[in-house]
Amino acid sequence: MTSPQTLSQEDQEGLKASVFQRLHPRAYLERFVAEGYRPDGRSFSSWRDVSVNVGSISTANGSALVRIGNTTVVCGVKAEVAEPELDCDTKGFLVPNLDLPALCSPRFKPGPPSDEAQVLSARLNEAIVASGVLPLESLCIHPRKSVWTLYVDAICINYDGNAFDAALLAMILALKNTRLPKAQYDEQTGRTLCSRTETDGLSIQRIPFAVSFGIFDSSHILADPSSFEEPLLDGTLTVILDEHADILSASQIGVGSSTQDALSTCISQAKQHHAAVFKSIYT
Amino acid sequence: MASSHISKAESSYIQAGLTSKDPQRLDGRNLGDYRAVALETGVAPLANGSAKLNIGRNPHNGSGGTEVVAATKLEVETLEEGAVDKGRVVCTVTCSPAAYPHLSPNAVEDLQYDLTTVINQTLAHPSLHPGNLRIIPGRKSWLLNVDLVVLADAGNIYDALFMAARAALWDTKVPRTRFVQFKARKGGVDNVGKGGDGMDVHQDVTSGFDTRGAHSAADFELPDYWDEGEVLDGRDRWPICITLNLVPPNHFLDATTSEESAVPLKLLLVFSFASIEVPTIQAMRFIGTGETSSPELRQLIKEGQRYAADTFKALQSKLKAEDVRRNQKTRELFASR
Amino acid sequence: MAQIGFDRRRINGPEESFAVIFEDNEEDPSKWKAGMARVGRLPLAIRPIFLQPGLIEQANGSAFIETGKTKIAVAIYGPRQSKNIAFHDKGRLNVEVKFAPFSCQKRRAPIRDAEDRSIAMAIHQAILPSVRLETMPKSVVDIFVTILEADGIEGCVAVGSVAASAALVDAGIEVYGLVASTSAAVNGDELWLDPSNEEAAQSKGTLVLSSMPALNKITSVWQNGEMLPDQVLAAVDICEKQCVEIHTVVAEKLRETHSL
Repeated sequence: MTSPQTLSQEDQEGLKASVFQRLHPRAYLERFVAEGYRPDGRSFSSWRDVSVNVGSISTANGSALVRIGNTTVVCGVKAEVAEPELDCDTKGFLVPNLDLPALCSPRFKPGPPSDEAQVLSARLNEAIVASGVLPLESLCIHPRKSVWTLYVDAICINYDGNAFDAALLAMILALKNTRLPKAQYDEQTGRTLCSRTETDGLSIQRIPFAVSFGIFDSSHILADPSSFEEPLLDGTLTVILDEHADILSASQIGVGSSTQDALSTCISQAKQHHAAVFKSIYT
Repeated sequence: MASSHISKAESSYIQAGLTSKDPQRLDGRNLGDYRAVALETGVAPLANGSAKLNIGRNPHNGSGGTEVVAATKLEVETLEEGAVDKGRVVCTVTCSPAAYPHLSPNAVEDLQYDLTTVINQTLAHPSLHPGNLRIIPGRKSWLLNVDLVVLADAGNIYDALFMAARAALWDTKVPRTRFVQFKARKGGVDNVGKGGDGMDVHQDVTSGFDTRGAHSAADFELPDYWDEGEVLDGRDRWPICITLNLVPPNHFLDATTSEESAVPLKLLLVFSFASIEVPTIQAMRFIGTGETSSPELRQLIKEGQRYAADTFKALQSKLKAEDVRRNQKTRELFASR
Repeated sequence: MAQIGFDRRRINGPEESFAVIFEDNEEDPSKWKAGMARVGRLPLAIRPIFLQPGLIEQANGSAFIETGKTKIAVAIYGPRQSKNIAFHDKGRLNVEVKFAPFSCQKRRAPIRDAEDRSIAMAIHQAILPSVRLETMPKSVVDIFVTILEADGIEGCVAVGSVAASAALVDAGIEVYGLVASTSAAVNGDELWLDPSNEEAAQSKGTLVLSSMPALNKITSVWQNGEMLPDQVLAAVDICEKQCVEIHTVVAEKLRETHSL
């Protein structure tokens, strides 16, 4: 360890580049963007590979693992029985949460959910509950007495940006994979009993599909931002499409683009991406 | 937990003494010697069982030593659906901040957690479960809370905690309960329908389904009786812990605080003596850095068993003496009235 | 109104919900019960281990391990500066264990509980003697363990220790040797290696042995429940042999990953 290690020419160049990236991340990204590329070699509009694996966790009623590039999200659905609220006595509960544990990135600390996780959970809740993925009435076992509660818990195990798209995809796939046991409410005993053998799938009505873009330097639109790009962005724009590529929502966080047609560019790019991957994921 | 509040020089001085051919300890004890242990049961009148234990109190001024108070409290618990109806045992260790003045509040909390985990995993294990914690089968049972408070820590806390817990559990009296049941007349609906023709068949079917229904209400009462109840089933089995402090090639018992900080590794062996000839190991833990090999481990378990048997015998005779003492006291109390 | 379990930092469900209750009359008669011979495995057979080091890019080192149904991800961050102001001439090892809410038969609410802590303690002890902490004063090494699916606490401790040790090596942290770990349970008169949740629950006593097979040293024995001293010693011997095999597999996998 005493003698300085001799590095090859190539290694030294690489070391210089990584030091530059560490110290001046913004300038580093700017130089790539000026050449029309991104640090990981993608063009502005290209996506990282999306891969999915469904139903690998046997303790959950439904589960899915989604990878977008290196970002990995695991989602499991646990069904429990609860009493409905008084004012909507046939509605079940759908409780989506995203956890960004300290395991997935040095940015997160152990303990209660970080601000980022809270924001993402709230957005996911909105995307799933508000867009009517699953009518809550279909979770009713017996009006006023017994309904299903679906805890949809997603955990990011490798954070490399764009956790929202990955988490939404994982949650929807896990819900599609979910099978609930046939349940019967017994009025005499006030208990809900379930069958060990017979199960039913959920009646999923809509399949929201999120496509996120980052806005860099108020003029460049970067699809599927990575964890290196994310902190440098002015804002992010998320378009959520349904299974027919119709727009369910479009939202923007942070400062938008100065060019007028940023939104329409994003929407058309989102539709292209949808056409490219949606079928292969959901078949 | 290796609270490094002694200097390197002091630590190596202690180690040198312990590892030498003719081992020397700071307080002149032999390697296998305990400090004086003082034990008193029945110290908390409101608890179902209690004990106060001190290891190493200074005989001249009555101060110092590791001091632990243990108390058990029984609570009635209504069973959840699908729960095992045998009652539960829950152990909790609390450390007084005064016992650990050099630790931050967070560190004390972590320590508390760690101690609780070891005690709870061992004492609440199904293999030691007392048989008489059931009140109404399937409905109600006793929750046995074992609370341990560390008042002062002058080393060897695990042995002290297990010994105090054993004494408190030995002392625990479970109140006698009498099962009271109210039974509705068999198939209330049936009786109403009696005499009606053709309806009977249908109603019989309903009541046949109804075996689970609320036909009977059950509760319990506490009969008024002169004593506080019966002892816990299998109270002989409550285990004791022997902490072997390893300073290869030697090991020693009952380390003081400074000895603990000088020793890298300790081995906890928890033995239960349902019969004195064939004790069982109820828990085993390694704590600290340093490692051992299986031939060494074999030797350590053998020696540990011997130490544990001695400690067990001493503790057992003390517990019986305590029982006698307290009966005596009660008798005198009545006699003086 | 104060709600139990209400946390405004999360999306909340109803105040109370209960795990599914099954009709008991439909229980599968072919199910394994206590006292029966082991189903599907020989008494001394372990579930095959799949280990993948370095899956978590953001971490200094990581490992994903899967054996039977158990799935555990481990990430190492550090050595990094200790937030604790007090001076330590040795580094510290900080192990945090987290269960995914869907990892067990019953849903685990996302709060730290005693079980997390006890597994963390056991894994900490298993790997602590192997790490050269004296080479990193004033630092802390964070080991984050996320259990995605659990099949027996003993299995989680054993497999978690193996994964944590592999992740330490993947992070380039100096160790004396790789730690391998196996669990065993006493069922009837037999000793079963690597028990599943059900098998461990039915057994009288369980034991997890962690060792550094390269040095022939035992780092930890984590034993619970009733076992005779002879049973413990027999279990230690058998587990130690098994650890040698696990060590070979893990070392081979690490060599493979890092030579690429």
